[in-house]
Amino acid sequence: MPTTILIIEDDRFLRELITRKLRDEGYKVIEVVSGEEGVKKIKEIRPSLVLLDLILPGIDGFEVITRAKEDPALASIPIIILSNRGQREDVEKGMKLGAVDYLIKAHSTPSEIIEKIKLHLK
Amino acid sequence: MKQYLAIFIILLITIAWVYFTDPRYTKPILAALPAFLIILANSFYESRVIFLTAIMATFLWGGALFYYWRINALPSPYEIYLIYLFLLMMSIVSFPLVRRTRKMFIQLEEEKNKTQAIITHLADGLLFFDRDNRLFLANPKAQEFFNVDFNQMMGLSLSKLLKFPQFKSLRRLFRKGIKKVFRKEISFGNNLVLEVSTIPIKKEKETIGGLIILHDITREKTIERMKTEFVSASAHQLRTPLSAIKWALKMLLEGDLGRVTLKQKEILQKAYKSNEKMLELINDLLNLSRIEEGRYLGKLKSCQLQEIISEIISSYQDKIQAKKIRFEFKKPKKKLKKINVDPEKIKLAIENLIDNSIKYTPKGGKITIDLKEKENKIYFKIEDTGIGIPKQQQKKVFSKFFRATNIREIDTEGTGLGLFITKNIIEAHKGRIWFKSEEGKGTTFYFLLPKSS
Repeated sequence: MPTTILIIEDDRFLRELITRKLRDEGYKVIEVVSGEEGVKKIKEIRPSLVLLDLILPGIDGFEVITRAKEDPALASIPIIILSNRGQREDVEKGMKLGAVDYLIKAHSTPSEIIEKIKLHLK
Repeated sequence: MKQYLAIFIILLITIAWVYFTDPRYTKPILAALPAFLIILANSFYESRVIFLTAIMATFLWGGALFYYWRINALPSPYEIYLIYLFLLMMSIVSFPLVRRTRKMFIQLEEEKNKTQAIITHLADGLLFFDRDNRLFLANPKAQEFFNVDFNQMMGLSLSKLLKFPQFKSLRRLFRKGIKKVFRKEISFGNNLVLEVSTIPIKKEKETIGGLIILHDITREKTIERMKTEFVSASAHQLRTPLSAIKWALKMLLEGDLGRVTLKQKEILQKAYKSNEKMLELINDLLNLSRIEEGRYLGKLKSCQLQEIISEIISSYQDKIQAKKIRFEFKKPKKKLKKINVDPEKIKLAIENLIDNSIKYTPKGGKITIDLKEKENKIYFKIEDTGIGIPKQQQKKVFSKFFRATNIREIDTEGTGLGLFITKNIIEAHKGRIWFKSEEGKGTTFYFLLPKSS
């Protein structure tokens, strides 16, 4: 079964780019645009990894992590935060809530993101 | 002045004439002197009371004279009327004087009313203190700002006034009395920001009082905050599409969408670099707005400044070696005590200084960093043999977006925000930053940080 990555990102262009890169690397990708949909999908399909933006319509990324971690069955799914908010408080908050990594979109290239994904899938 | 002299001379001549014609009249004339003086006094001090007293005194005196004539102690009435005439003349002469004085007083009153109207309706708050630093006037605006009844506080000294809770924010400013304050911004509760200034009231060289002016700048501060929030919000918004461009270009460059020719690669790299520059600028703008919002310093941690500096230097090793720069870090003899700083921001501040040194020092140059601890302060010095800063531009060095003219050829990309941000970070840590520079010889930047930040 191919590794499934769930991407929760509301910007279409960014989502298309990272999805293309991920698919080129051989991953199966499921895309959602909102936090609520994201939580639903995590429960439904149990992805191998989640790429999560923080600024989302409706509930924000932090809330998504909190809800995902509530369910013990889903708690082990690695969540990588992929956001443009780079403030130290945001990083600390995200990591404390249970994210395994925090990447800043504006400072990372798609290849670097793939590297990190590979790292955390191990 | 001349009129008074004239009256005095007339008086003397009259007394002399009376004395030499009939000495018997001298006594009554002299008895009338008080009345004359009262009339004269009336010219100096405009007072209806004195004037009426003078008239009454004159008539009383006249009556007394008449009586004494009746009982045959004095000469006939017509001679008395002469004296009366004399008195009348005096009164008439003093009238214009009185009128002029009265006019002066009316003008003064008018001026006083005008000034009072200005003070009452001024949009700024005013507090007047006399020479003993006691409050003697507070205009309605000042009442409005502080929401107190100043009538209860008249005559109170400044120090007593400051004890009231409404003036808490002013205590620090006037701790040593009404010393010179110029446009200090003070925040008061309930969203009020005032610009406070003090003016001494002088009469010739002597200080006879003090004035505190309170100018409402709440609106200006609100606008400033809105502007900062706008910059912050816009910068954040811009990051998303720019990230998309960055990723798209990187994917093209890495061949994810097919092979790229060398020429295509060149153009794509230029586009990528330009985009990176935009991202850098946005980063700087975001840092800027955070400084202005005052939310800049994160949590303070106890850090070893030496280590932070060493780390930064090692991250710049490639650039240092590429330019064959002789880089020396003179560490302090004793290990420095830890200092409370925001490590991220201090790193950024020092990075900017090191980055500048490396950028603006030509190949084969020398950069030295000196770090020492003295009297509970940490002193940092970075000296380079770079191109220096032109003298006329030196005072603008820490301004936003400023870039000296001589570096534009070397580095076309800088944003001009680096030193502004560094200065803000150092000062947010209650430190101080300064520099020395000579064009063509080199630049040395210094900063100090107090141990107890």
